[in-house]
Amino acid sequence: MKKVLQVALGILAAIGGFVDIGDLVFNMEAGAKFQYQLLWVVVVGVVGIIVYSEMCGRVAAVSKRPVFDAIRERLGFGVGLGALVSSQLVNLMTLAAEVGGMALALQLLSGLPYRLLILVGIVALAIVIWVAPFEWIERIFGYAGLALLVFAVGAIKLHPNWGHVAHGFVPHMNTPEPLIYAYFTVGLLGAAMTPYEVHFYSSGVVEEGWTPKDLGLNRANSMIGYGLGGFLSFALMITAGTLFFPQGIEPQLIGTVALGAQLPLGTIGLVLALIGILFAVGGAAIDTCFSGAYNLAQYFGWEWGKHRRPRDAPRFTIAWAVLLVLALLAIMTGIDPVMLTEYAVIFSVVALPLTYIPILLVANDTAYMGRYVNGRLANAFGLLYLVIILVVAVSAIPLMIVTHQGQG
Amino acid sequence: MPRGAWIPLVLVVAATSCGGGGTLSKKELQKQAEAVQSFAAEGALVAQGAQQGRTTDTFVRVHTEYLAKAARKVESELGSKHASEGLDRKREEATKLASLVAQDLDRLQRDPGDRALAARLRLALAKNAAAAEELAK
Repeated sequence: MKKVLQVALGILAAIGGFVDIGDLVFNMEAGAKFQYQLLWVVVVGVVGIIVYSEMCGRVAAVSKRPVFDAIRERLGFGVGLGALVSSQLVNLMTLAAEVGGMALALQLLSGLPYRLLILVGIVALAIVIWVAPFEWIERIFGYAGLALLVFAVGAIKLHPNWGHVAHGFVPHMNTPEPLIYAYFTVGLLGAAMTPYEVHFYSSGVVEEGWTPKDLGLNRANSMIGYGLGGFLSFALMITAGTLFFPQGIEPQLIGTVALGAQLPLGTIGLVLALIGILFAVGGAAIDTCFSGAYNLAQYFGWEWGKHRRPRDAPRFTIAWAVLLVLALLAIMTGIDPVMLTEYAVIFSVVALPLTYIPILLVANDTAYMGRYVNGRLANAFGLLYLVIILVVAVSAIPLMIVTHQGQG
Repeated sequence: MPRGAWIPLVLVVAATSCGGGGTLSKKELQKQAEAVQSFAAEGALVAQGAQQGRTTDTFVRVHTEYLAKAARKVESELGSKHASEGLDRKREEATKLASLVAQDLDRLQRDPGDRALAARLRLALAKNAAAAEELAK
């Protein structure tokens, strides 16, 4: 049981990172537009995030320094500031969208007014962050988010053509809209490797006080957590490919995502899906809120950490509280949370190199890492993914403009 | 933010804020008809759940409200634009279909627990989805 609870950090980081409100809709849209053709992209994204989260977790466990420390030191103050500003912008957009997503899930469960539920969501998040210890936050949101596994059951019950599903794991393109295919490829990769996931994960390693003795646990967290996130992405895409693709339905609402579980499984499927969405999106809100506060504190050298009492890390505490208030103000304007998070995913793709290059550099520095530096395999994968990240970063915004955000 | 990063931001805002008024192209009309088809087909699935008692009234009420709002937005966009002579009849048909779909969704929203009504609306929405699909070709 203890071992099971120890992988909670990876599960929360992955559930929050892989199946936040944007990913839920993005995966469904990909399945509804291209059926199973883009399943291979999820595999590429999952392997990439496993490689880099293992690396940044190892760096944090060995050197006690999370990602943003490395960014500031390796990229210098100016470029580091650029990375900080872009990360904070994306964090704030994502946090606002997740809060909106929580309110939408609560509304579909309760029928209460959306704006009231935004307030309820923000207050609940603030209480949980203030009161609950870090490991309980991981467990509550990580494991309750596993209710999303209902989509895997639903996907099986829909009896997809498994031969076609298997073909989706082989890269191929069979569409008259290659640019939209490229846009979804870039978006799915970006969503899988969002910077806030590694910022949160590496800081979480420091929060939990991992040491080199815990490197096995780090590997297990990366592989199980993100593997699970990828599995949920497959389930969502297969559900949409089986259910929505043949009917020409374009899922752009959280309710449509939940419908994907209701149709094969009835009321219980619907309720579990909405609970899973609520906690997954809530987990993502906590990931991004903490990530924003971690980044600021680590960049400016403040005391930080949920393991410290608020009075011992006052600026860190103020930072997450201010982020929550800003997110509240942003989402109260009436902006569509799904659209907001899709923009956040694409903009975060542009910032990917600023996060991943320093991780690779530090993981190869013997002064930091001693005998725990990257091996050949980690470097081979690290470099390969760096090339992928650079290509994706350069093409993300042009593709978003040309395809009108994937709408053609 | 890196120097020059505001340029793509401005381009994105400009690209995404276009719309409302003006002339409707064939491709735009096709996209709008596809949207109507999507809302109608999804509405039919929601109605199916309501008809079979395999969903919650709250979900049906809230979700159909969002779908109806989206259908009405398409109706208003189609209504605010002009099209060339050959396309204008199709534009009018798409506008009418969007309106019908929004009305059906409104009725489902008002009475989510009425199974007989849900059955009728399911058929009507499926029929309108097929008509919109035809229009999008």
